[in-house]
Formats: sequence, C-alpha cells, structure tokens
Amino acid sequence: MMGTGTLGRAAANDEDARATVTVGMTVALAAIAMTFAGLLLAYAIVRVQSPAWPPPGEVTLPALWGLRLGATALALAGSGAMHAAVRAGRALPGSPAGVRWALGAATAAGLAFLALQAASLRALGAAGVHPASGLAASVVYALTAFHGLHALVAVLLSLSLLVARRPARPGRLLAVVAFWHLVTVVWLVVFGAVFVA
Amino acid sequence: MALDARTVSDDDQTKDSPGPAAEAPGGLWRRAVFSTDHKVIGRQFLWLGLVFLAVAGTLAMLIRWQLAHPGAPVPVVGGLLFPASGGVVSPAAYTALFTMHGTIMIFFALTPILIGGFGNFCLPLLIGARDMAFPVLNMLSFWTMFVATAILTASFFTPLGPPAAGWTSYPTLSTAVGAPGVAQTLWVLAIYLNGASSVMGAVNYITTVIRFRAPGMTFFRMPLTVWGLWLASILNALFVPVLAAGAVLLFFDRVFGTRFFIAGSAIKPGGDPVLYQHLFWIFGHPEVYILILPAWGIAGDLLSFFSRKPAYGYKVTVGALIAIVVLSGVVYGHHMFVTGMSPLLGEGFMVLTMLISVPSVILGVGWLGTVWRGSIRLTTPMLFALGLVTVFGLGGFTGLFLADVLADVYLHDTFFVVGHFHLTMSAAVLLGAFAAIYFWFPKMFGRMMNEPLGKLHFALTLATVIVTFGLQLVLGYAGMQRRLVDPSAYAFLRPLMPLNRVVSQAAFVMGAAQILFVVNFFYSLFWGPRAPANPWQVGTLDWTVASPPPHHNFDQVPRVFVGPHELGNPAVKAARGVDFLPQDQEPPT
Repeated sequence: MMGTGTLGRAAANDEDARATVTVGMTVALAAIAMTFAGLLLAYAIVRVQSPAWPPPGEVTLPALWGLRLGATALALAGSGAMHAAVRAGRALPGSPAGVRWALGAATAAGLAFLALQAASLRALGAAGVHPASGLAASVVYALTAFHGLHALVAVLLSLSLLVARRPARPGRLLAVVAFWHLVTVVWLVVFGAVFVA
Repeated sequence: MALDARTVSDDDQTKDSPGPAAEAPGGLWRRAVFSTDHKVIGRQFLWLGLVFLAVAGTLAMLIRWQLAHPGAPVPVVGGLLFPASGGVVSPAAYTALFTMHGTIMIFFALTPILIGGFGNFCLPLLIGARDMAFPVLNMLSFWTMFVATAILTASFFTPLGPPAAGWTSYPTLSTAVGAPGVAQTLWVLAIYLNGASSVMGAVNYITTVIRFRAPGMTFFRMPLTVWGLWLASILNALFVPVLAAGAVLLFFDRVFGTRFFIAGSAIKPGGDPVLYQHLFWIFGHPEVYILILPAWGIAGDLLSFFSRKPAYGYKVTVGALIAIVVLSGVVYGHHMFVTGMSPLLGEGFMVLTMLISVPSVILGVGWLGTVWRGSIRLTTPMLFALGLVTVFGLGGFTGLFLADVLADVYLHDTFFVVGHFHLTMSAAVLLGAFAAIYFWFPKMFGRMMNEPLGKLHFALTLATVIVTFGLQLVLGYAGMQRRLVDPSAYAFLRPLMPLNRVVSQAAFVMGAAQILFVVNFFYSLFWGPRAPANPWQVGTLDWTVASPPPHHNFDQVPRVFVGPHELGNPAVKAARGVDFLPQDQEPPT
C-alpha cells in the first residue's frame, strides 16, 4: 500500500486505475490501428497492381498542398497541446487551468483540422473529382473521410474533458491523449503514403 | 464513461483485491436492461444468441428442404414465407437463405453465446474478479450488438429482399451492381457494428485477465476456459478490425460510388474484387479460432472435471493454444487457392496451414490423456465435451485435404467444404456451447437442468451432426457444388439426390432434437431443482460461490493456492473427504 489512510489509498487507486486504462487503451488503439492497416493494405494492393498512379485513364487529382500541409500542421499541434495537458496534469502543484488551456487549444486545433479536411474534399469536388471518378479518388475520399470520423471522435473526447465540471477520473485524460496521438500518427502515415509517395 | 476503469483497490479491502464491490442494484431498468453487471450482460448475450440460433437453424431447415425436394412447396410455412412462388424456395430466396443462415450463425448466434454469453458470465468468476475492467464498455458492447441484430433483422424486410451475397459477401456480388437495394448495405452496417461490439468485449476480456486476476491466480493457474476466451479476444482485437476495413470500403463502394471492388474495364478504370477477399480472409481464418478457442478451453476443463483427473499436459496444452493463435494469423491464403495465386505463395500457405495440425494434435493428445483411465462421469456437459472432441476431430482431419493446394482446387466450392467447416466451426462450436449451457446453467440461473433429457438431446444431436455433415463431405467429394439451388437440374448430380435426402432427413431430426433442449431449458428455468453452490464437485472459483452468485460475486476476494484441476488427489481425499480441492483452499500438507 502507498502509505496509510485515505490519501495513501486514493493514490494507490489512481495508480491502479491508470495501469488498467493503459492496458485497455493499448488494446483498443491496436484494434483501431489494425483497421487503418487494413485500409492502407487495400490501398497498397491497388496501387502496386496499377501500372501508374493515378491509374491510366483517371483524372489527375489536384495536389491541394496548402490545405493538406495545413491540416498536417494542425494535427501535430493538437497532439502537442494534448501532450501539454498531460504535463500540466502531472505538474506539482497541479495546474487545472493549464490542463483546461491545453485541452482548449487541442480542441480548437482539431476543429480547424476537420475544417481543412472538409475544405480539401470540397476542393476536389469543385475540380470535378468525385468518389466515383476512379481508384485514386476512391482512396483519397475513403481514407480522408474515415480518418476524419476518428478525428471528430478525438475532438469530442477532448471537448468532453474540457466542459466536464469535475476533473477527469484517473487515466481518462491519458486515454484521450493516447487516442489523439494515434489519430495524428495515422494521418501522418496517410499523408505520406497517399499524398506524398 | 467507458474509459473509467474499476480500480484494484478502491473499495475498503486489501491492496490485492481484484475489484471493488459492484454498485448496489438500482431499479429494474438498471438491473435488468442497462446493467453493467457482467453476469446480467452474459445472460443478455446468451438470450440474444439463442434466439438467433433458432432463426438461423430454421433457415437451415428451409435450405435442406430445397436440396432434398427441389421445386416442391415448403410444407406448412411455405405459403407464408414464399407467397410469390407458391411456397417454393425460388433461386433468389435460396441465395438469401444461405446468406442469412451463415451470417447469423457465425456472427449473431455462436459468437454471442460463447464469447458474449459465457465469456461475460464466467471470466470474472473464474479469475476471482468482481466484474470486468470496464463495466460501462461491457454494457455498450451488448447494446451495440443489439443494434447490429436489429439492423440485420431489418434487412429481411427490404423491398428487394434480404442480403444474398453469401456470408462472405464477396464483390462483385455484394457491390451496388450485384446487389442493388438497401439490404446489402444494412448487412455491411450490421457486420461493422457486430465487429465493434466484439472489439469492445476483447478490450474488456484482455484487460480483465491481465489486471484483475485474484491474488495467487497466476497465468498457469487459470482454467483453460479463461485461456480460450483470452486468446480468442486477442484474435478478435487484432483481426476483426481488418474485416471492418473491408466493410468500410464496401460501404463506400455501395453508398458513395467508390471503385475499390469494382473491376475496371477498357473504358472505365476500377479496382479489384479479389482485394476484398484478402481483407475478408485475413479476418476470416482467425475467426475460425475465435469461435473454437473458447469451446476448446471449455472442453479441456470439462474433460478434466468429469474424468476426476488433472488436465493432462496443461502447460503443453496452453502452449499449443498459443501456437495455434500465432499460426492462425498467417494462413488465410488457403481460402484463396483458386484466385490465381502464385504457386510459390500457395505452397507457403499450404505448409503453414499443415503446420497447424501439429499443435492441434497436441491438443487432442492432451484431451485423450485427460480422460485416459479417469473416473469418468458421463454427465450431459461431459457428453457434449466428448462430442465436441469427436466432431472437431472429424472436421480437423478433413481440413488437411483443403489445406493441400491440389486437392483444394478440386474440392473448393463443393459440399466437401460445407461439411468440413460445419464440423469444425459450426457443429463443434455448437456442441461446445451446449456443454457450456448444461454445465453453467445451475450457476447462471440457480437451477439444475434435467439430465436424462439432456442426454437424449446429446445423443440425437451428435448422431445427426455426424450423418448430416459427414455425408456432405461425401456429396462434395462426388462433385456437388455449394450454393446450388437445384442439384437435380444437372444430370451428373441426379444420382446424388437420395444422399441429399438422407442429409436433409438427418438435419430435420437434428432440428427437432433441439426442441428437447428448448423444453429442458425453459422447464428447468422455472421448475428445475434448486442448484447447490457446487453441483459438479469441482474446484474453480465460480463454484465456490452461491448459485446464482451474489451481485458482487465474492464476499471476500479469494486467494488462489492451486490450479483449476486439483482432482483425484489421494491426499486431498484423505484430508477433506472429497476428491477435489477448490482453488481458494490450501492443499493439505
């Protein structure tokens, strides 16, 4: 036991809960990562099978570098803010205001990321590129949209921590941060594999 | 909130307490409907699975009627089910029947019963925990499954008819081109949500076993049932998401017009229908083990309990289970030998598949060694466990033929495959599910089931399972294809019609035998004799508490001293007067 009395027991409980959430979140993140691995495997197969990319006969997709680099920067900024929230939460003495500030920044970055992703899909549509336009367009629309859904969940989770009246229970902040980082890492992989490679 | 884990010591017990006392039961709504109690959720999964087992079984009877009497109206219910064709199963209806039969059996009957039902009910009890690690997530898992079943049920009633692209739903048949209408889209949604439910369960099971084992419950003191469920959960967490990826892309193809699975043509570029098969079978082969691992674990425990002997080679058995789990992730290509795979790749998949027979045989040897010279008690659960071993043995041996590339090219898409996978992942799992129901019914509902009726149910079920699926192997070997609405339409298959009728008659008897189970289940539920805490005289932790267990499972968190199979020890018999030692009792010195 960590010391005696209520304080010591509460600290032990926090540590236990954090360890439990860490195990659970690791499994959950592995499962989510496997879904994206499946999607990226599908992309890899169709790309390897194609003599060129985009496949011959398909429209060339506009690069939209500004929007996509902006989205990438925002994803990294959101993850950085979430990391700062964890550091503020661990600081002694605790810094609830620091946590809230960081969560607010992450939420704002996440919302801006989603807005840029939506703008990139609108720009594709405006250029006459639709999901049915071909394989390359299919890949861009499907991966952007499915990843965007996960980014939306990340934003909602950080928002729920931000507006909660009581501080998050042990491990919850850590779990949300881990999810945020996964969403960012997946976007970096998608960005590199689909838009850069 | 789902992420709020229970803590290891946030009740007033010692540090090594594996969970707090569950909250006091609230109103009926909270207690029986949106409960976070693993036992209630386990029962909910069991009920849901049994209902859909009955639905899928009924669909099987209709399939068998058509194959035995092609073109003849289905008796009694034909006019109601197929009014447009005068009670006859039309080709379109037949395709829908086998699609929904397979889908429901695998995803909505066997999975909820064994993993959802008994996984939830037994796992915390067996490791000495008070609940799952994430009780709210556990409740969400059930209700996600419920929504999935509602969506799948809705697909029966769509204007263009139910989904009809097979349980594998291969493109191009499952794309908007091959399956117009909303039914197939609902199928995709239902499968996605079903998978989400399974992953939620897997997160809970894996975490609970790692974090909430009672003091002294080392990994090698866990019952084999827990090993089976835990390893199945690892496969669930890793491979169900790959099916989800396939479902997402299929959904995009159907709803938004993407072209992942629609083959290109000279005038329009496109994707690759075989791509879906990769995603499906990367999940699909581990799914076989996701279904059978819990059943194997249960069989391993029951054979030991009712032979009154420790499980033979317990650690080797666990090692074999782990080896099978690892190998199951790298053999999926044997489902795709006929897709034009490179011969070198095919050989690789063939060798890896054959390798699985090594740990499988080790399992079999362990089971035989366990019952060898045991003081066997032929209770109903034991009979079903023995039946599982028998049927899985038959199915497993026939798998060797299908693992061989050359034999598979001939046998692929014949009834040989149907007979093989029904024996392994359907009948064996079903027998495992029945073993679990007869064994844990007293703990779940506090009453004993009727043994003579159970034994009659077993005898009829085992005999008809072997005849039905065994003869399907013969039909397939003779060249009868799968998914054929009317075998008699082909001259070379007409001589097989008498055999087809025997298969169907056996299947009808199998279906009728399940009425015995239903009667036994409901009669026992209300009027069965009250169950004592430990009617089977075994030592695992679930049987150290009352039947049914109290809301918080254990008054005092147990401390574990021995393994799960401390049976037949003369020293224990001398000291305690009984031939078993509960896991929470110190062995006599």
